[in-house]
Amino acid sequence: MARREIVVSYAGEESAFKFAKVDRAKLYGRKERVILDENGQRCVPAYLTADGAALVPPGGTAHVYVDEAFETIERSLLSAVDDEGKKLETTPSTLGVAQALEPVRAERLLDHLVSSVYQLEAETLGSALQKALADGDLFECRYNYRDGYDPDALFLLQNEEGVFALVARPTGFGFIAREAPPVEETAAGDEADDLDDDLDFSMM
Amino acid sequence: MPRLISIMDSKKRDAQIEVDGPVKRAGYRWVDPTGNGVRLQRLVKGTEKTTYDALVERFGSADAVSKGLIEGDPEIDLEQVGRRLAFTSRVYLGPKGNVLYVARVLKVVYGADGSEQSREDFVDVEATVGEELPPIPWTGRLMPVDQVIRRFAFVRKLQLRHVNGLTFDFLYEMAKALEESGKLMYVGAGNKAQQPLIFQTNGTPFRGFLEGRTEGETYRLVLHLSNLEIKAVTAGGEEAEG
Repeated sequence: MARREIVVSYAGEESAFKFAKVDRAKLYGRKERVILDENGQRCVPAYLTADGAALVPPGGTAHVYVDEAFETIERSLLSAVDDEGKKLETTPSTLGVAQALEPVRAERLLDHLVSSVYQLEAETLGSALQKALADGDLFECRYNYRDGYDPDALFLLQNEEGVFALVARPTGFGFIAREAPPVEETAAGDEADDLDDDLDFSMM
Repeated sequence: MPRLISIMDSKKRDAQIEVDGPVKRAGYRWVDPTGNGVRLQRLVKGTEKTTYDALVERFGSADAVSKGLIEGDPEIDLEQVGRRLAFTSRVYLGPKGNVLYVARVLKVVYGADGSEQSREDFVDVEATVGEELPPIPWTGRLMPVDQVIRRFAFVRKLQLRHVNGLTFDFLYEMAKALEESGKLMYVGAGNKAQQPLIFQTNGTPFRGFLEGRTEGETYRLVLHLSNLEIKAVTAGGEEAEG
């Protein structure tokens, strides 16, 4: 079985880390909104079709890929292409494969949006990397959890709690001039509002 | 999609400006073997008549359901299965698959160990930031970048944009001041900036840090938002999907 560790190389030494995801529920607990009926029994959300003919409970939906004629296409027959229709090659998972670390400035991390935080436990840790992390250096390498088409960036840092990896992607924010054009409105329902998060009752 | 918020500068002047999220990735799309595009379609797989509980109710026992499954296809609602699911309404179903007309909504709090801590009637939490709400105050509480990035994971970001010539000067000056400080400024909602930033009713509460940069006559003012500290949670190194 392939190694499922984050492996990095720095100053000619390889380091390998086991990793565990850090999330809010593990740190702070969580809040949940529960719906009860008149007898105090827990209820579940469901979809009611527009014609009222069907009630679809949780687990009652399926997703399929269809073409213009509404013919189902098997997932294994699909290919990924870019905006110009050029076929994309799969980028393999980076787990278990040494990724070259580059020291970066803190502003580089600020230019990215974090999607996951991992707590790392070193299996092997090169002495140069150990010293650099302890000195407060910040590192970046490429990261792909599984084979895919769009790898993320992984930032490695250390604080008083330990060593952590932050999986992130660029924000793409640019500098704005006085005569900057207004932001284009997306079609309604086309893309989610960045702040239109679903109901969240988590604690601060 | 941009939206308007109110924000205050160091001179306690406030203005409505636009905020917008990160640029979407260029990404990719799926095509079939002939190169034609495909789309993901959501279909009905089962209805309230085909759940396990409904089948047990119908057949009388779990064993009878097993026999029914061997002899026929009671788990398939032939009238509905495969139907495209669109323009639906959200309803709640009771334990017997009945639609709920009267409901009690509770907020249940669980601790980090998963145990239930409390339950009480749910009360909406209103937004603290918005077009018609008081401006985000200028706190002047500056923190070193190196310290902040090691303490908070920024899971949302908004770029502040001007809406006219006056607000260009307003935001440019804010960005310039923050750039010269070389630090991030903590921001919160309310007069004393002690409330979390909540952008919609029952939305996620965030801590905010404002960062400014300039380049010639252009500026970049970004509100970094976090609801997650970078802290250890387990002793082990259990792998988790990202």
